[in-house]
Amino acid sequence: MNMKYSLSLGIALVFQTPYVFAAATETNTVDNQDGTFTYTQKINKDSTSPHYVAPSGYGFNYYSHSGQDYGWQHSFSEASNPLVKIQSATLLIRGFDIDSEAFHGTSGEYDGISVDGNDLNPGLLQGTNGTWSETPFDVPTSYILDDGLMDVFLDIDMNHNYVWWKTTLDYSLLTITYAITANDAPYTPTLNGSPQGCATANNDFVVDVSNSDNADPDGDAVSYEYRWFVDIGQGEVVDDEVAGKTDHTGNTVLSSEVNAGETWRVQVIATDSNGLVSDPAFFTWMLGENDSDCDGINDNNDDYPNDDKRASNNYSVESTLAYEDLWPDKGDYDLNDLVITNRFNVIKDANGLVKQIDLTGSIQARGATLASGFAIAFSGTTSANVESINMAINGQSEAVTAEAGHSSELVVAVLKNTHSATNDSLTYSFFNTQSGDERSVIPVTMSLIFVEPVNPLAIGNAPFNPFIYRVSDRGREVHLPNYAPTALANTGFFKTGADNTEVGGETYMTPAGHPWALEISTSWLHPMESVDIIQAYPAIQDWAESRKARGATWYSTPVSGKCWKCN
Amino acid sequence: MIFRYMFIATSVFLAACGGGSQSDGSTPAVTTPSSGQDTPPPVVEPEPVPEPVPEPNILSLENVTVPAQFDWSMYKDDEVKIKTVSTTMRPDGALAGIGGKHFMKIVALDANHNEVENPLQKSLTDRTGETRTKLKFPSEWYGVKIEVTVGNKLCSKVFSKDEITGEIEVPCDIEIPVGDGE
Repeated sequence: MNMKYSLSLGIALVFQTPYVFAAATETNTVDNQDGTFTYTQKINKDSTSPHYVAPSGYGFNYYSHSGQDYGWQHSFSEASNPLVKIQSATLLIRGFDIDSEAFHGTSGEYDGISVDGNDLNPGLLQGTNGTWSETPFDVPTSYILDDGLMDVFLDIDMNHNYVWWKTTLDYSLLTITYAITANDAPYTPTLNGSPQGCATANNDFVVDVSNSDNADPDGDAVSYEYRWFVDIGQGEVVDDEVAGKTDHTGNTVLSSEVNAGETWRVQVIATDSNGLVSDPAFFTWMLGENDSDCDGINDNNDDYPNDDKRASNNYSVESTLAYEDLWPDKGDYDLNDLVITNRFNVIKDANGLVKQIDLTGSIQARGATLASGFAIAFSGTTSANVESINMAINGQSEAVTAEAGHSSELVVAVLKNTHSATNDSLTYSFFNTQSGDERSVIPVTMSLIFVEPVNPLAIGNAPFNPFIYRVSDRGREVHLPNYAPTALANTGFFKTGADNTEVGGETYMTPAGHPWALEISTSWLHPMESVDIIQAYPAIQDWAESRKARGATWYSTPVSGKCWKCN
Repeated sequence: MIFRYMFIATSVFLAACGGGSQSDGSTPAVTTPSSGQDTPPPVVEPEPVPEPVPEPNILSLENVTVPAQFDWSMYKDDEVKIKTVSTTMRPDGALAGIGGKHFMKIVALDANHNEVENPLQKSLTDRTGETRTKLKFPSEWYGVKIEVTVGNKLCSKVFSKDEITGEIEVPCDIEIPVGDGE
């Protein structure tokens, strides 16, 4: 023990009587006369900043409802002493009229408690109608020892906004028993649960600690404490005895205790021979009910009933991307320098997050001499989150990697060179844009799998942000109007030539508002070589000039002979 | 000489770039009467000047007058919050949300109000019975049908594309028992 902490201990021993911070919060430390101390801190309606700032009209001692969530802050100043080691830490919350009886199902009042943004177990305050109740939570020691502050938040009626579900809290009591010692706490247990994966009601649940042979950094003997929780239909786990089950304290729950549709969770805390405790470890079993992969979606509705990472196919409407490639200079507006059809299947997990994106498309035309690449930028994720990317061009498969140089989004080059895929003719220098050239379109597929599923709102809708770039000048990107350039775009081209791109504003249009690319919302017969789109599809004029009030299907009324295969 | 070749190469390149190529514009050779001819030249009636054929006003997309802030999108593409609600009225007059994770299917309806074969989206709501999503479909289509499975009950509602904005509710004929929190 160094001098600094010897002094600290001395001070603690001298001042063992209850003391109060500047805030009106009851804080107390008791010397247990066995080398340990018990610290308590109670926060209630009388507490003041920094522990609690009473909201107007709700909070402690008020009936409060879902629109009146509030928080408070516990503190433990001894956390800054590295020799302080915790033997137990509990947060006990006393409240009135906690209507969390299981018979309410998902319609009940469930009040969640989080610390430093992390939901605690049990997942809600436990109590009954019209009575006072106390809910004890085991607080992970890491939440306390990181900075000595615990921001607690009460989410009243967390599943609804029913104003009839109200509750009153009396106090929040933090109790920490600790020792001042150079001995270290045990390691967090590593758990092996049986069965693994999706369980059935015929299974006994058994949890074993796989690091029990190396459970403590000091080699101390370690024992384990088990606390079991179950969700029987409330949407959150509660203590098993609260749910009407046996209060399990060992490492096993027998199958006779479990039912289809339930979720069981065990919390395991290691305690060494000095009474020091580890952070808790958890293992969860889910019992499917007509749900083979236990992802929460009934097999009848699950497109991947045996894959808990995938649940649904979400198809985009087939569209056609048509590009001019001379940006920032004007082209000839035949919109056929690259024409590529696309349809995406965005495969989501049960929570609606994107696990995989599959592209099925085809190169329909390449009316260009310049060699272009075709790529897609995906926001909301990065290359670090890519599990795999597989591509097939005209049946030739290849595994590819994400393009380097992008730190805030993911960019995948689908076609590195449109020429190499479309230069198989000695008769036609272009592909499917000249009279008589009616070769088969070239199929393109891509399958992109993410490590962690991605928020669909962040990644956006198909076709995401598709663009072409000049092979000989990667920075020269051409995007759909108002789509963002990537990090590799040469912004020095902005506002040169015919371009009027405003970073953060309108992009990839001329000052008069004309684009270099369009996404047509269906399959589409592109204009022939050098035929301006307005000559092939005159109705586009009325559509644009009427601000889409007329001519919504302009793309379905071509002029005969002016577009590919529309004689 | 090298400049000449560069000129030719550049000309070919520019003609091919972007597929844009000018018409050949080939001009017929000029013939000149040989000197010393005895025969007087025939009287040539001047050809009537043809009426000029009016050129179409619009030959190129760049002649289209594009309205300000026109985005060229052919889609309805909006973020929307979808709530599953019961028939129970809250004291504040709103319908009570149905908590719990429910299976939700969103099917697009084409211009003829027919269901498009593959759903736009299938997923679970969050634990409050809500989901936030961006729906994208061709702007000439009618809208969507949203189906929510609450327990064994299938509830659905059709929304026109103009209704798909902000926050929309799919009602389910389920009574929520009012708690006695007061």
